[in-house]
Amino acid sequence: MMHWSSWQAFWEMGGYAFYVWGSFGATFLLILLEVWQAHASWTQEFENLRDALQIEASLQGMPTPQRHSAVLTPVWDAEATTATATATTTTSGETGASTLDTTTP
Amino acid sequence: MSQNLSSRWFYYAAPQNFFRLSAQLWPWCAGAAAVLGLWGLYWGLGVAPVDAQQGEAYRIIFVHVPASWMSMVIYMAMAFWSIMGLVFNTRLSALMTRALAPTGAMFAFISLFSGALWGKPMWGTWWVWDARLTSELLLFFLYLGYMALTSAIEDPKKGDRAGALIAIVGSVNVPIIYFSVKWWNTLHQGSSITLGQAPSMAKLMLWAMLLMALSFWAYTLAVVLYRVRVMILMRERESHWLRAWVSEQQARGQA
Repeated sequence: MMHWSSWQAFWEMGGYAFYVWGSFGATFLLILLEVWQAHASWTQEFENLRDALQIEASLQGMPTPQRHSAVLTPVWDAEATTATATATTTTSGETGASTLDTTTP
Repeated sequence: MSQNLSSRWFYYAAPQNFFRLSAQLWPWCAGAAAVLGLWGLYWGLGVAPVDAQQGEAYRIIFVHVPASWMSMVIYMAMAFWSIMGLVFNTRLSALMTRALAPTGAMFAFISLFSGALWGKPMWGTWWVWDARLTSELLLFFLYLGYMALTSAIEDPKKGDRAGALIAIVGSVNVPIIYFSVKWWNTLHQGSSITLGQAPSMAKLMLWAMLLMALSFWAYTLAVVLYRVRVMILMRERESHWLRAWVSEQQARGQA
C-alpha cells in the first residue's frame, strides 16, 4: 500500500526534497500564519469592545457635565451665562451654577 | 418554497443572524479541512505512485493545483458578493468580499511559489513570462490592489463600493487564466482535469488531489466565516444586540 520503502526515502523525495518540501512547507506556514492572524484580530476586537462597554458602564453613575458650566464658558459669553443662570435660579431654584457664575475677580 | 428560500437568504444577510450562524458553522468547516487535508496528504505523499516522467517532484501538484483553483474560485466569489452587494445593498455582502480577499491572495501566492519550485527542476527555470504564469501573477496583484484600496478608504461604505468595482472588473482575468493554456502556446502544461473528459492522471493521484482541493475549500469557508465575525464585531459595535452578546460572553467568562 505504502509507496515508500523507508522514512529516509520519504524525506529525500527522490532527490526533489527541496522543491517538494519547500512547496508543502510554505503552504503549511502560510495557513498557520493566517489562522494566527485571524485569531489575534478576533481577540483584539473583542477586547476593544468589551473595554469600551466597561468604561461606558462605569461612567453611567457619574453626573454628566453641565454644558454651560462657568469654568468652560469663555469670557465673551459670561454675561449670557449669568443671565441664563439667574433665570434658572428664579424659576427652578438651582443655585449651584449661579454662585459659580458670578465672575468676581 | 422559493419564497421561503429567498426569505431565509435575506434573513442571514442581516449581520445579527449571520453572526450566530457563522459561530456554529466555522468549527465544522475547520474540522472538515483538517480531516480531508490529512487524508489527502497521506494519499498524495504516502500512497500515490511515482510519476513516470517527473519522478517524485510531481507531488507538488497536490498543493499547486488546489491552491490555483482556490485562487480563481475565491476571486469569482468576491465578484459574486460584490454584485449582490451593489444590487441588493445587503450589509453582509461587502463583509464577505473583504473576508475572502486575504485568503485568495494567500492561495494565489502559494500557486506562484509552488509553481516556481516545480518549474525549476522540470523546466529549468523559476519563472517564464508565459500567459498562464503572467495572468496568475496579475490575479495576485488584483488581490493586493483590492486589499490596499479598501483599507485606504476610511469610510467603510465607500471602501466597500470601490472594492466591489475592482472585484467585478478584475474577474475578467479569471477565465483568461483558466483558458490561457488553450488559447496560447504556453510552457505550462494543459489542464489536469477537464469536465466531460477522462482525466489524464492515475486514479489514486486524482483522488489525492481532489481531497486536497476539498480540504482547501473547507479551510477557506472556515477562515472566511471567522473573519466575517471579526468584521461584524468592528462594524456593528454600536448595535444593541452585539453589546448584549459581548457582556453575556464576559459574564460567562467570569463565572
